Amino acid sequence: MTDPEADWPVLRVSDSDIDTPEDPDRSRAVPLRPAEPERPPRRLPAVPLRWCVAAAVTALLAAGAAVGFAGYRARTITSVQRVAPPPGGVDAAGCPPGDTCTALSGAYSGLAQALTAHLPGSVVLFSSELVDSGATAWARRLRIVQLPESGVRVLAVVQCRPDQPPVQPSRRNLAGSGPAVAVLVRPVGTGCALSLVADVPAGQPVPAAALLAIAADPDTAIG
Amino acid sequence: MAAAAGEPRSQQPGGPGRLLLALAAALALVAVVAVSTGLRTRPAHRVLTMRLAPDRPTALDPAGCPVDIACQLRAEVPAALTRAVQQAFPRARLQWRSSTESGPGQVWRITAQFLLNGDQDSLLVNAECQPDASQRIARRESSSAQQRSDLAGNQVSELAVHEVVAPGAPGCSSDLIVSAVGDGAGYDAGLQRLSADPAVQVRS
Repeated sequence: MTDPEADWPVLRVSDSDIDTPEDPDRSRAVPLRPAEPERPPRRLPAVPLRWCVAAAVTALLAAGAAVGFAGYRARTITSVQRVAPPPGGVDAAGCPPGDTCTALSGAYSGLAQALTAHLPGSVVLFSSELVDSGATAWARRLRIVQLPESGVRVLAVVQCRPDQPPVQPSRRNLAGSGPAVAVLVRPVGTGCALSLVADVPAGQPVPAAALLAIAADPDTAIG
Repeated sequence: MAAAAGEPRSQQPGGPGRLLLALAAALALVAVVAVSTGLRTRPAHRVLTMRLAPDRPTALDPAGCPVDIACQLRAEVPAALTRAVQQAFPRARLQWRSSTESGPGQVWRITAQFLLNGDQDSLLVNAECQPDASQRIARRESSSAQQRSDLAGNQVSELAVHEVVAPGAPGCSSDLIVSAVGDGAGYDAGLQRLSADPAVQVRS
């Protein structure tokens, strides 16, 4: 059995070629691999427990405030507008707004018949009738007549406004004689009312009986 | 080792401390997210429209007085109204005059009737103000006629009614009606002129 290292070349090293600890410069020129130093374990900086509690409470308060702020920003603002229709609006002819009204002569209305029947011989000074094509069923009939003998003039108006409260009956100056303005108002039918105004000259009696008869005549009703 | 062992226990970020710090961090993250969301959010606006039931206006009764207000009826009309009518219709003769008022200057209705041409043609002026009304009345015009057919088949007007409702102050208007034998076309100019005259209004 032969030695396998027998044929290897032999390196001859003198003592001067060997680094010694007594030669610090030479030890730095040929550094030896130092051993890995043992590192200390990483550790968090020390925090007092009360600071942790304070941080948690502060963060809790901040989170609550932030959530409240987000909720406040995401709120829904509700505005309520109360729209009230304009009151009134019916014109002087008795026509409500938005309706198409036409004035007719009214010569053949029931009011004309009642006046002719109870004031015989009266002369018609004016007569008109409001026809409302809308759905409100508002109406107005107007007629002015004159008694030639006495000079008494009578203005008769019957109007229907179903949305209105009932007209209270009233009478004024029906007794006695002129000069006077006699007024008689009474409801006729649903939502309708009749007024009779008599302009009585001096010395002439108020035609109270005729006025009361006209007011009681069912022909004066509209509809 | 001897120095570490000498530290007080409160200085150690032990289990409770670490848990509290983690909780604080999570809450801080929640706060940041909430603030960011809040800054990017705008409040939503919602408008609810409630249409109230119409107030029942206080209307005038047929005599021209408000239903719930005591008023007097007088056999007179303002002189300015008579002058305005006579300027528009020089041959007009006053036949009926009446007005209602509930106090000095509180006039509700003025009614005047004039004969325009003999005893055939007539003009009615009815001006009034509705109590509590704040809406301006719209102007409107209408015409109607009673017609017959002549022998040639033409429609002939026997009696025409021309009406103009002229607005005055809010809630006030004047109703002008001309009733004329024939077609009444000769009164149109005077009717238009009269409707523009503020003297025919209770309040203008």
